[in-house]
Amino acid sequence: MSRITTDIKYSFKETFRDRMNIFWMFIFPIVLFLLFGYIFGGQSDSTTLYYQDNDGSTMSNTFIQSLGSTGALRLKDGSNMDLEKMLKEGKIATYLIIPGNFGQIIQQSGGTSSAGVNMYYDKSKPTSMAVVSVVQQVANGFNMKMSGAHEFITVNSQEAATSGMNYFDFLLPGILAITIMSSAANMSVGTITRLRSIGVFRKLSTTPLSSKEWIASRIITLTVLVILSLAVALFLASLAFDIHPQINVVSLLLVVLGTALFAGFGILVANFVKNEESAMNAVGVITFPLMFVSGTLIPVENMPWFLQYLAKISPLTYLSEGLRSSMITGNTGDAVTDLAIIAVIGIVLFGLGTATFNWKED
Amino acid sequence: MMVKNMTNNVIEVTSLMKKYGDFIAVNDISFNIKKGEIFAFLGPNGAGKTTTVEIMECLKNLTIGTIKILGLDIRKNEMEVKKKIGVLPQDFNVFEWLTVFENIDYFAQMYPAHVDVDTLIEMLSLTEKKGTLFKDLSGGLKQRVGIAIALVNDPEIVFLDEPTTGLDPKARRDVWNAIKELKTRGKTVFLTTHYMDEAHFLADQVNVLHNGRIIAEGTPEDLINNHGGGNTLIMRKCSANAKNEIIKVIPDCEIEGDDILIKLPEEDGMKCMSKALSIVNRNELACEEFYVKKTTLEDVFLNLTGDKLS
Ligand SMILES: Nc1ncnc2c1ncn2[C@@H]1O[C@H](COP(=O)(O)OP(=O)(O)OP(=O)(O)O)[C@@H](O)[C@H]1O
Ligand SMILES: [Mg+2]
Repeated sequence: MSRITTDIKYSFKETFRDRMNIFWMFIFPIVLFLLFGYIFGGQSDSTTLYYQDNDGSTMSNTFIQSLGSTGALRLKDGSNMDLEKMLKEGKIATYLIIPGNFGQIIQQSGGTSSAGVNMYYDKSKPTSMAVVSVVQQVANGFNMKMSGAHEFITVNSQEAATSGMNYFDFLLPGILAITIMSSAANMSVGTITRLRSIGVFRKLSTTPLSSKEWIASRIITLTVLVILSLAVALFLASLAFDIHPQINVVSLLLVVLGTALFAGFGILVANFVKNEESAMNAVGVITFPLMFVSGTLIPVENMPWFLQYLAKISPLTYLSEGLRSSMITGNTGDAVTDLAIIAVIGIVLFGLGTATFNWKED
Repeated sequence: MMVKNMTNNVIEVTSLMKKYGDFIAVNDISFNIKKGEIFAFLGPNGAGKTTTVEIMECLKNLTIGTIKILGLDIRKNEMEVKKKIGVLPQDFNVFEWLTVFENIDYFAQMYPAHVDVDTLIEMLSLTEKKGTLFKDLSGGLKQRVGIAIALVNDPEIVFLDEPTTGLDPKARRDVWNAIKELKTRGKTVFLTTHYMDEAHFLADQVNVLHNGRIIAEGTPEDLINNHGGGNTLIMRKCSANAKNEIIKVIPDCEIEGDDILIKLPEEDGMKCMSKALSIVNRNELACEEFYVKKTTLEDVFLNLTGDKLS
């Protein structure tokens, strides 16, 4: 027992001393999250204001032009779009509806009754509130010009019921899954091939420590490290993006079994590819494409059909969707199905990996 | 074979053979090692030294033969054997991002009973380097850490596979001293090397290994006496008539440029030497320098195999 605890203690020390590990485990997931968040989340550029002008009168036209002339917004005509749905899905941050009777009300009433425009916004988008206030100010300016102080254009702003995810919500579990995969697979294949090639295994195998004990210790260390790195990513996401995923038994089991799955894969590769670099490359050749085809960065439905087939056979798909269901959408039923798939593949790969692992040479 | 006192043998290797596929790396070798001696395997690259040691360390499986360590058959008592031996593998390495102290402590904790880590550090004069990361150590220091780690379980037998290969002369001396120190502490040391001076300086018993076979065994002195081909008298920078005179009297001498080399037969080397000198004296011939070159294990190896050692 003390052999295992000693190995755990010192493998932690080693991991934290090597700056490269810190980068890959703690910084890289965050970089990936921000990078993909802003590249693919760019469609929901939150200073763009989509509008539907159901009135089409000179009055509404003038109003829209004044919005455009502020220079603070990019205006996009969303006449034929389902803006409500797009907002819900997090694809856009704000939209404006000018009702059909807008011009009519202003003209007919001669300014005695007010016409409303409707603003819808997603408050989780950082700049959506700014867009709302720009619209408000333009309306005020209009009011001043036309009547002094009487308010005849009112802005009804409504926080949209964004039960739907925005892209960052979608992305977060994907990034967590990628982190689990790359940490588990790379750490296990890297550690094994490196210690084997520089001769540390030869030394270890002359001591009472058995290779099974060593693997057990390393998988414990790895799991704790993975959980730590996910915790850091989650903490930062909650600070910066106000995302608050649920942490529950299913998501924890997914993390643990996902780690075992990809560690098992890494161990298996290391057992058959003896050269350090070739083994790392073999793992990379498989895990790198999986990052993109497994519904981690882009929803599987949005991918071309042939990639959807790849997604079906990629374990990472089930890991990221399981995490998404359990942590973000709260869809426990789906999460449990994904967990079962991960558990089966995980037990097989980890079992095969550890069964074929031995540092005794022939 | 010599009859040995069986109770004194800590290692007994009988008819050991190791095949890698069809290739025979170690071919039917047998030897015994007595308690407290430094036993050296001397041989060139690829002789089978590491293969043999690693089989004894339970790191590799043997193909044929039996090995008993401290009376235990290594195939049936692997764990017991591991607890009683200490190993410095060839091209030794441990955890690069741990310090000297941490690495030694790591291995100490692997054994149910182990010696105090600080005592070991002091014994191998590593106190100053205690907090240095292993990856930042020089080759000689790494080897010393390796020896310290080989001693964490206070083993009765220590295996050192090429402990000084690649070290500078000062670092070699330091490692040699550490090995001598082991002997004074009553440890049995199994050493492999391809340096004859190392084997000569350290070993009580030497086995010369070549192509997987033991081709000679004995103390360094025995080997030199039996296989060295005797000492050589060297007369340097001799005049032409000196060479002519000597070759008349001692026809099997060798002339190399202006130097004359005379092999001294073991039985009457002195007689041969005085004969040569008297010729020079009598005829007042000119030679600048005389000396006797002793044979080394290098010559032993050369004579046995026709090959150079390294
Ligand atoms: N795992 C292996 N598979 C196949 N052949 C091997 C293996 N290990 C060693 N050999 C071969 O067995 C022979 C003996 O190798 P070994 O390492 O025992 O030699 P050595 O005496 O230790 O040499 P060196 O001085 O270079 O360390 C060599 O020809 C080597 O190529
Ligand atoms: Mg060797």
